[in-house]
Amino acid sequence: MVILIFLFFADSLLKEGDYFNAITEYKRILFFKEYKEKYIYFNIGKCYEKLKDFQKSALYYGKYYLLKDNISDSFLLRYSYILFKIGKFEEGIFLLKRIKENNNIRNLLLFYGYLKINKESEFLKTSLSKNYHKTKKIFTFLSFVLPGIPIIFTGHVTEGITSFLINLGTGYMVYKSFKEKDYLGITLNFSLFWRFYTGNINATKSFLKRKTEKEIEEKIKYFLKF
Amino acid sequence: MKFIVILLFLKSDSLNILKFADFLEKEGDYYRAVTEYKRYLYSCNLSQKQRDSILLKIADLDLRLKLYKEALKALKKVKDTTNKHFNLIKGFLFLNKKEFKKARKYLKFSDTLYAYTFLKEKRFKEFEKILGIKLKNLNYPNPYIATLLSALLPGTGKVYSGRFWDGLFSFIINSVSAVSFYNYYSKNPKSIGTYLSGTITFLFYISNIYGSYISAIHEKKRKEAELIFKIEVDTGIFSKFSKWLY
Amino acid sequence: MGKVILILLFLQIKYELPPVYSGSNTPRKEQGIFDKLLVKIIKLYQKTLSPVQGAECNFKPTCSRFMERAIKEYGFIKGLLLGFDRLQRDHPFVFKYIGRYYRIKDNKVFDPPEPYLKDEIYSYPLILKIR
Repeated sequence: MVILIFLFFADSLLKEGDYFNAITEYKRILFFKEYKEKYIYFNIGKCYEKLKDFQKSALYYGKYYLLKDNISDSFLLRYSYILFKIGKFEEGIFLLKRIKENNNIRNLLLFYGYLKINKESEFLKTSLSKNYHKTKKIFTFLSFVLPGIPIIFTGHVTEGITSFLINLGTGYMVYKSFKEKDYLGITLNFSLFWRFYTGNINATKSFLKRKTEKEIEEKIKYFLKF
Repeated sequence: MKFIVILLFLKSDSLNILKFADFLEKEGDYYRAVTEYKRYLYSCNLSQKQRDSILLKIADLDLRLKLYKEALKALKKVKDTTNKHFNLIKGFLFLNKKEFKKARKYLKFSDTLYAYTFLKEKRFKEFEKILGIKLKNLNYPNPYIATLLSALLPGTGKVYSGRFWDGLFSFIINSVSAVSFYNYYSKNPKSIGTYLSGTITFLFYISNIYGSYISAIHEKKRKEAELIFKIEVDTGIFSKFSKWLY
Repeated sequence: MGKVILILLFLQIKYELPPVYSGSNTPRKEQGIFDKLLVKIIKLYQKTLSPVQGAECNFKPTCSRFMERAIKEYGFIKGLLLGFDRLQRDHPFVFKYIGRYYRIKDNKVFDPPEPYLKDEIYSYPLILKIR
């Protein structure tokens, strides 16, 4: 009976938004160990999540996950996103595969996890991932032919223009040194040109990846109400 | 509602507060454990010994959280100043601030800790006298020789102070920039290429000299720190202070 | 009556949120004209040229950011020299020096400029600081 009142006090603190003190009251109840622990682990995890201490919230969510039998899909989505924030991508992907495939947010999060591990080619089920792979192929081809211009389409205009101009300039310097038969100049200028040319190709891939990651993060924040 | 909660809570034993504080300390939640220990001090009638022991626990946890001012506040309330633990914590606080004379006052109770203060101050001879140990002569690289070597041949100063790969790459970079400068200068001494490559070679050359000077100094500091750490581990001081440092 | 006193004493203990330790709280010195100019050039480089090169620096405060922070901490001349020294140290064999001169943070070599010219740099052996 006494402990129920402690619980109501702790729940009231949670509602008010006093997360730090709510955690202490929940831990006090855990210390007595007479009440059911699953609900308390979940609430402590929620408080740490609001305080943006994702390591500890993952700890307590993990304890809740191990104890509870029938877990809801919404909890699995939330827990997997927190694991992604910490950096435990493979564990999050393992959890997401337990959810049914009809869930759109589950597919989004799975693709996000595979993107972070650089194994996005393994996941081709949604329209988002198919579009991503198409655009990636087109942009890499364009970056070979017209260096710098696909970077503009990813949203980074100044970087694209600078890479285009630098590639033009260094290419012209290589051509000029070829004409003059200045072998030392060829090696120096070609090394410069090669750095920026390969850099342009890598930059298109990384900018595309970052753009998709940001889009997914915004959608997830809207759906999961982070 | 809160009034009823507090009344019902206080009906339970005062020892439960202590046990809960110990539970939080084991979990690693030191800040909450400190507040529970403070609540225990406020709400329960304790003898002076019990009070001192809990104040020392609070100071211990504040040191783990690196809140040195709060630890000092807790230590001021302690009345039994002959306690070893009290002297240890005070000595550690002064060592942290690098006030070695004051630290020696509190760490007189053990020879190893007293000698350790001299070690931290880098007075190796006094340390050797007190404990009767002979430290091996460490060969430090001379920073002025490192600067001379790197001025003559860029990269050799860093190799002299122990950094082979850094020296190699600084030699490569300096030589490439010098060759490019010569290449531009031989064609047209007044072009943009000569000025650019000239400034870059000059900057790399001077930074190479300065970097080799600093690397020699860093090597000396690193070897001294390794020496101190070895002695800490051998004498057992490290086990006392490690929880407050990491 | 005793219980009322105890309740009042209980209420006196107020929880406070723990202090937040932010990253680098070094006091910035007054910057001259050259300092500000150089920092602006470095920021221009960071916006335009550095994202286009594709390669990532092996160090955690990248070389351009190292130079920027060194100029703000130590001034125009020392900052420039430290920055160019860092460019010479940025080579693929840096990972052999972990535990000896550097430690790792986020899979990259951690080498900040702030303690470089101070006594704090090797206060404890680096093997222990690796987490």
